[in-house]
Amino acid sequence: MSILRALHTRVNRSGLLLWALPLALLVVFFFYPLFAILRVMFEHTGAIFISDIWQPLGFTFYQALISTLLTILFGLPAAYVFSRFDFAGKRLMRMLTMLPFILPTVVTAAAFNSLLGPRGWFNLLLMKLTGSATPPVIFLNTFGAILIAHVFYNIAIIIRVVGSAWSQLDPRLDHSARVLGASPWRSFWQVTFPLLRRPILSAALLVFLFDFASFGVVLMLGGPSFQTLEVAIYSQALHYLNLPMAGLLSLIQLACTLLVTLVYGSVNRGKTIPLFPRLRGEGTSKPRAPWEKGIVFLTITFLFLLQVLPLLALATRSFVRLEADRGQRGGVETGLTLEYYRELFVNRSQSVFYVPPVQAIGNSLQYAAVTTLISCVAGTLLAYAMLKKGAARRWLDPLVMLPFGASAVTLGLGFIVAFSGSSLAGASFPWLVPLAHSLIAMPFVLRAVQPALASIPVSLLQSAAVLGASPLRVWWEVEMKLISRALISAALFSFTISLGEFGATTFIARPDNPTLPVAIFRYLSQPGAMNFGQAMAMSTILILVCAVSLALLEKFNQFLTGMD
Amino acid sequence: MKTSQTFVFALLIMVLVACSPASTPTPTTGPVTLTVMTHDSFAVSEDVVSTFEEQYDVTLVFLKSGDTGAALNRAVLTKSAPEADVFYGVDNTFLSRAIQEEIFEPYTSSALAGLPDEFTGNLAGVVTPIDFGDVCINYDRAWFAARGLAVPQTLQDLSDPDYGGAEGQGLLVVENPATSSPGMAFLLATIAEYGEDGYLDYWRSLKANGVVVVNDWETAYYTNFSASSGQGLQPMVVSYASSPAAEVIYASEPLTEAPTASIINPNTCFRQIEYAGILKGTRNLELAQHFIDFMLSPRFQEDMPLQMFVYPVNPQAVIPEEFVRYAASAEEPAVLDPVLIANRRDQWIRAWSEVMLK
Amino acid sequence: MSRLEVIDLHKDYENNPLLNGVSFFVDSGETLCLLGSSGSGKSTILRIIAGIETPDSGQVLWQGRDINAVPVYRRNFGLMFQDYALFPHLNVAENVAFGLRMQRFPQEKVTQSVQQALEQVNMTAFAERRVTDLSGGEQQRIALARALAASPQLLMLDEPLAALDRSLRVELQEELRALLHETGIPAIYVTHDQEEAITLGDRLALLHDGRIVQCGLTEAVFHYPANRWVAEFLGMTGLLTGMISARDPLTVQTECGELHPQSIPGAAVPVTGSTVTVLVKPVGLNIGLDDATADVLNGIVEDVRFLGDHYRVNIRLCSGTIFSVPTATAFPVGDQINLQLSPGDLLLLLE
Repeated sequence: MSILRALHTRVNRSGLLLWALPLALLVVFFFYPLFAILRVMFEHTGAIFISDIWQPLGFTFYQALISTLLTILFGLPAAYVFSRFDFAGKRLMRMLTMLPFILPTVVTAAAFNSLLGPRGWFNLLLMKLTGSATPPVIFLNTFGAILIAHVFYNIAIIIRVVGSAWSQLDPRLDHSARVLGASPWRSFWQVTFPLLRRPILSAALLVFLFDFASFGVVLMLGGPSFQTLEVAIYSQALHYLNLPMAGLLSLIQLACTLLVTLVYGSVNRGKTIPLFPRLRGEGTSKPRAPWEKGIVFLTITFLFLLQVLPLLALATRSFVRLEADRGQRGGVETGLTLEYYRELFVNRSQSVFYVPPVQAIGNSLQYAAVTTLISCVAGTLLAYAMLKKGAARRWLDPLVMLPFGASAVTLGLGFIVAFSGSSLAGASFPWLVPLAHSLIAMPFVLRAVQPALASIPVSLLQSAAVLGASPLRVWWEVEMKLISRALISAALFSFTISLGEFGATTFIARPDNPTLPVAIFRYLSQPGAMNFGQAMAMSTILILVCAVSLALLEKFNQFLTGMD
Repeated sequence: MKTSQTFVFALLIMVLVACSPASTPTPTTGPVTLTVMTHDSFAVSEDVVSTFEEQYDVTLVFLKSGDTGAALNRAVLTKSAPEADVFYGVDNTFLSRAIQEEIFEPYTSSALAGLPDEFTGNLAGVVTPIDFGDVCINYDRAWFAARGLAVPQTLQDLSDPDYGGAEGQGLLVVENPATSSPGMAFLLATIAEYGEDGYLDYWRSLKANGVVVVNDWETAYYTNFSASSGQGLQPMVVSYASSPAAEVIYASEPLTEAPTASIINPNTCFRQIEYAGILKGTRNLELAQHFIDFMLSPRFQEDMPLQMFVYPVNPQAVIPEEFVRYAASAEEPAVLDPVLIANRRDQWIRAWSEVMLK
Repeated sequence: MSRLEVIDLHKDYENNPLLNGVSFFVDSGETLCLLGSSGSGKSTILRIIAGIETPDSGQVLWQGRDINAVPVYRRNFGLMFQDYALFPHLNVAENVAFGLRMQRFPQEKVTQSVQQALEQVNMTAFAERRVTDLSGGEQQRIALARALAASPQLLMLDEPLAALDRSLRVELQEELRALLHETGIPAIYVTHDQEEAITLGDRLALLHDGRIVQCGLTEAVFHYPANRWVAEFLGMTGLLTGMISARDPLTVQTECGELHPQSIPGAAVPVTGSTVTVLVKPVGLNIGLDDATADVLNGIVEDVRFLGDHYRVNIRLCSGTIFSVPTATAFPVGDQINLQLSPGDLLLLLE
């Protein structure tokens, strides 16, 4: 037995020691502020319009459902390609698909705009080709923009969660189905798909809840014709100043999240998939058959277009001088420049709030590192707690998922109400930001680590103990090594979530310690080509910082486990 | 395992700390701290801050949380245990709400005497006007020049088919008042001009003329506006009268004239006046009063234009040269009573949304 | 003095008694084969001895000392799991070195012992291989090497050959037997296969209904099965139910007539009228010869199989029981056959 499993069976049967810490985090940093803010909100006066609930509620479900289905549809082939084939640039490509995850929506909007906007590269190209005077592609403020942005953000979840289960699936199962006469297609539907049902559902739930609580994408890319609950909460709380309405909408959003998670829980009961802890590239091969080469090529091309091209378009903007046109509408004067980067290092206006990029990077990395640590420890403890069936397991999962459904505005205000005046107040307590981020990251850790943990045959642990390994060493030498891959994947998610989180951070981050997204937003909130350019430059830096961090984390994993 | 155990311990301790009842910060022996709560757009020069700090042997701390609405909510929600001594940045569209919530300690600065009447009305003896900015329509000068099209002069001109386009393809982009402060301000300008009975008809005519609505200023300005770096399709955008100055000051190559300009004719703009107030429950009342006075002094007032692109309310403040040259302020901005705004805000936005978004 | 002694183990599994007072011992240098059907609790006994599980009551003594309180990782027993439980994240040599590292042996000693253990199982060439690339037999050898490397005081093997094909099983049985004798480590070998038990066990312990129903030298157990279950479990087929009609001479009335079995030496013979089982031993049977002094059983040849150096004939006895006998010659299927039985061929079993 490893030491953490021992906590389960020996010290106390319900595993209290395992879920006490994550639960305490949830209670103190989620339920308590949430309760505090809702109480205050309902103490205020404001008219409740029931009719204003149905429209955003219906649309929220509708767009989340379509977005999730599309994400699965495009994510599954990618998960398949990454888990079954070796090809040049695979690792780089897999890392690139994680990058959108970090991007604050305001940057994503700028990225898509520079690619697909009225004067984006794509429209400019089409206009040149067709000689048309107006941009042929209308992207912004359409439903399609919301869907594409959601797929752009969340496809990484499907690739990672389903892909890791897929690569652990015994390839012989597929082979034997094929030997029994099933076509590749039938073998997928009859054998692989049912076996992957749980990871797919698990990933789909995360994607759905992310889309369900979508704010920036709907606000900035969807435009005023589309309103999710989260957007409605934001405008009710901060623009209508109707706090009871905002509180009611927040409660509805939470209730829906809980409901969806419970439904998921009841659908997802049953046997766990027969995963075998695979660590190296068993079951992967170079694509050989024409159809294999075809699917690898198509998938990589698709991912490149969806995930990489907008980022490249954004990065290009940070190097290109685009002067406002002087009458020749349609023409774009360009020139390469490093001015925006140079200017980042100058406090030209002598502002007391100026932050050198290095310091913003430092803040972001610090927060991200602490978030990763907290969420990985707490999430892994939870994963151990969930090894045991029982009431705790049934209730813990929905509870842990609940922060996904909490509006950033409501929770941000909740932090302020709950902790103002206490020693945890934003000004004196730097832990609040990573703790808030950890609440969002924890479900990811749980979902990544739990299946890996459950797939470890108990005999491995017992065998280690019989060979003389103390519980601590069983945990470190065997169990940790076997879940390290899943844990690294979880750490990547936590890290990127923290790097890119913007909503709740604005309420609790200290102005003298802005994160990269906060700094980007500062530049974008004033007119002027230099401000825009600097925002793009800062975004590019954010992307680079994240890419380097991800690469280092992967390297660290190799170093830790000594495997490729 | 060692590190993770230590970490678990650290977390437990933190949780325990968090569970302890909200305690009032213990007075420290070092220099006194004066905390100013404000919105994200607040900016000030380092040396202006140190002037005040040195004069009163105090450390200034700024707490920022989101836009004006978010910052005001923060002050309202924490009024029983205030996080700051001074609140800066409530504007006249939110003022009445702030006064209703009784978050401010009454204070009448002696410096108020020198201010024009338009800033000192509606104060109820609790808040102090600091700056103003006009929400106006900015236009792309080159675009209009190239087409030989006259720049619209009134709000009514905007409904003229000359400035129209297909639905959602017109020449003007505005922000949604339900999600944006300048959007709200522009809505108020139209209400001031056409009255509560007429403004919806006016908006219907704008809609028929193809007005584009987006949710936030960033999208309107950087994506839709043709004269910005985003190079969108609309040559007119709802922004600030000072935006053209920012376009010059923050140009990526030196410019001698702004690529944009504002329409500042009578009743086309809405004037946002920003106020500061002392938060009830402050334990540094005297210092807070000094800070309010300091904000009205030329030292602070002259710093604001280039930091926040707003105008000082103190007529004695010297406005920086590039600001005078490129920024503008409205001649006769639209005016609405803050009490009326507070009472009707909700209904106006709802009615507007019914007309424009359904 | 016996090195390992297990006394009165009780263990419930989901409220049903699994072990119901199990006691046995293992002497130094000997191999005890623990036989029982699947689900009888054999593995549980090993896990209790190893310290992975705790008994509800009962004691495990090592050299006379109760080791219930000694944690699993301090017992220095070797346990080879049925699924081998090789660590997939370590290569062959690292797997074998695991126990040595856990016991903090110096590096040179680790290298040396790994080398030695791999030699013992003829796997030195595989040291750097991934364990996931190995075949079943290779994995089995590595698991054995890993269990042996740290020189355990006691070796426990949990159906180590169950997953292997027959020829490999026979080959490995011989290797294991040689290895166990060579190292002299006392061992408990769990299996449900009587053939393995005969090959490997110095002594047999048969587990049934949560108890050890018979324990003794392998030969003795085969000679004198304690009861009908043991005989059946050991694959004996000539079992006839009957009633004791007389005690002297011992006479049992069966469907196939009167038989005169021997009783197990020292065992009490039940009273007249008791229902008993008579075991017909397949050894030394006379088929078709006429001898008036012997008991005779009639049957029909059902099936004849050629098994290389002998035949196996299945005879349907009058009771309907199929009795399987090895013979030197074949018999035509359907022939009527008379089995001449001397008293040594019949044994009285207790129900």
